[in-house]
Amino acid sequence: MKLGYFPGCSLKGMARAYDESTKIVAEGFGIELMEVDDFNCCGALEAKGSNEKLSYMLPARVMDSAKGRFHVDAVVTPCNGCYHSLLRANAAMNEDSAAKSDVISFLKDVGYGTYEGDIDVRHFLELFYNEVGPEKVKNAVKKSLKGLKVASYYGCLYERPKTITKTGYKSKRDDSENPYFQDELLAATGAEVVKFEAAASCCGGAHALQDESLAATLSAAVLSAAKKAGADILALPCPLCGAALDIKQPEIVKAHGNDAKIPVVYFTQLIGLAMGKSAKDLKLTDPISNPMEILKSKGLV
Amino acid sequence: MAENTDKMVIDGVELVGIWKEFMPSRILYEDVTTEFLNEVKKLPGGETIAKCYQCGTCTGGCTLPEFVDKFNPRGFINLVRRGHYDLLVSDYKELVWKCVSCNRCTHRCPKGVNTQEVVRAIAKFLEDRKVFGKLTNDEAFDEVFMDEVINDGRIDEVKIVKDFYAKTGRLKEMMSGDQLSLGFKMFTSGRIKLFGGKIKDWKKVSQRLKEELQ
Repeated sequence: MKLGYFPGCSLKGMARAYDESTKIVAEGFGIELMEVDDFNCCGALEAKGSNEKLSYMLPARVMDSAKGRFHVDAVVTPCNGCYHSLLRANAAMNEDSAAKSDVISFLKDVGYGTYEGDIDVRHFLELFYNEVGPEKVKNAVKKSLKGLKVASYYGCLYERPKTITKTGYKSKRDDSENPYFQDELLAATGAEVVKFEAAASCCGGAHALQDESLAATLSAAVLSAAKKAGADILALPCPLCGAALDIKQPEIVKAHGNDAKIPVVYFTQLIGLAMGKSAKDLKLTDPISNPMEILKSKGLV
Repeated sequence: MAENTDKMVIDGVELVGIWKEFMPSRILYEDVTTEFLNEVKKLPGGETIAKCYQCGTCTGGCTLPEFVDKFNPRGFINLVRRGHYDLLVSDYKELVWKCVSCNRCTHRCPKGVNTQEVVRAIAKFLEDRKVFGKLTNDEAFDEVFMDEVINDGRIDEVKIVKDFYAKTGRLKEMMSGDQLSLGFKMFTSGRIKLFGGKIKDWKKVSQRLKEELQ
């Protein structure tokens, strides 16, 4: 299976730790990612409220580039937001013939014009679970994360809504109400995954600028639920949740107190750490919420 | 007693004779108008609104009611379907746009309503009618975001924050001590780049997207 890798805008900016740790983990387990380096923004939630056609054209150009240049079978992205946009465009092209012909004529004008809604869209978490899985992770552990208590957080668009996540999908999907792929992968590193009620709650990140106080309240609810569950650290598979829960954390703690103070990392950073990769390569010093302190105290870095 | 041999069909079931005497009319409210509904149906994302049968699964699973009093997707849809534009504006205009797009409503809807996009379409409808009397944060963010995507192809996080604050008259806040020290940490660690990645041949795509918007 040939895979196009679509990092998305965030992974080339503030979430570079996710981009680099994803590549390290993929390489370590023999997943070859061909980076669609001329990618454009997927349009996120803004395009779909602004202009229906654009909300299909933007993601379609990314997939067209992956297919036209690399002849891939699937495009994989580590971002919940990009994943949602790509799946949504795919679903529209398969269900709405007018949308499909609009998009194809756009792609013929500006790109390769080869994409017809016919390649799989995959989230890196799902792909890693299905193609590698907890057993292989367990066997590859060089430094067990034993003693580290992790809250495994998924966010919203990873498994929702089913109307598009189920469209034309060939691989085994996570449980949409009680996702567990990331839990099992993290448990395979030796870490203790705590029971965490807010695993698929919303961090409010979509309104981080438009409605700051509500976004902070939602984020605080997630962070304090993780802390209450006894976690040392929160791991996640989405750069937008990362921005909301990590970069915004100082503001959240200011407004909601120390109950909301907990280090936040990408799940790929913890898997990389268990593989014996260095904190430097995994960019574990990037998060504002300072995971290094707890990792040092557990003797993991 | 009325003539009871006429045929009458309800939901595909043919009723004859005396049955229709005690089968009441199915108009639930006398004040229903469909203009508002038809307008929302035409907006991007609004297409599935008429499938709703008001079960309330959306509101039951919604993220917001716990945090935002009276936030109620089922209720918003009901007001649109009954044509209660004035009531929506007077009592709910400050609520509708607060949806955080978690998509639990759309995910769980038993009727295939794309609830999240419907609620977004209702908010858009209110914004387009200028009921807020000013540019809302929501509109301001959408505008700066789409401008940046169309012109540059990608989103630069610092630029988007700066443009959003400038558009909403809050540029000073970016210069606060906390924001500056955060920015400094991001910059010195290399997470903020002054010259973000440019996409080859984006001009052509940008031009084509602009044509699409006209």
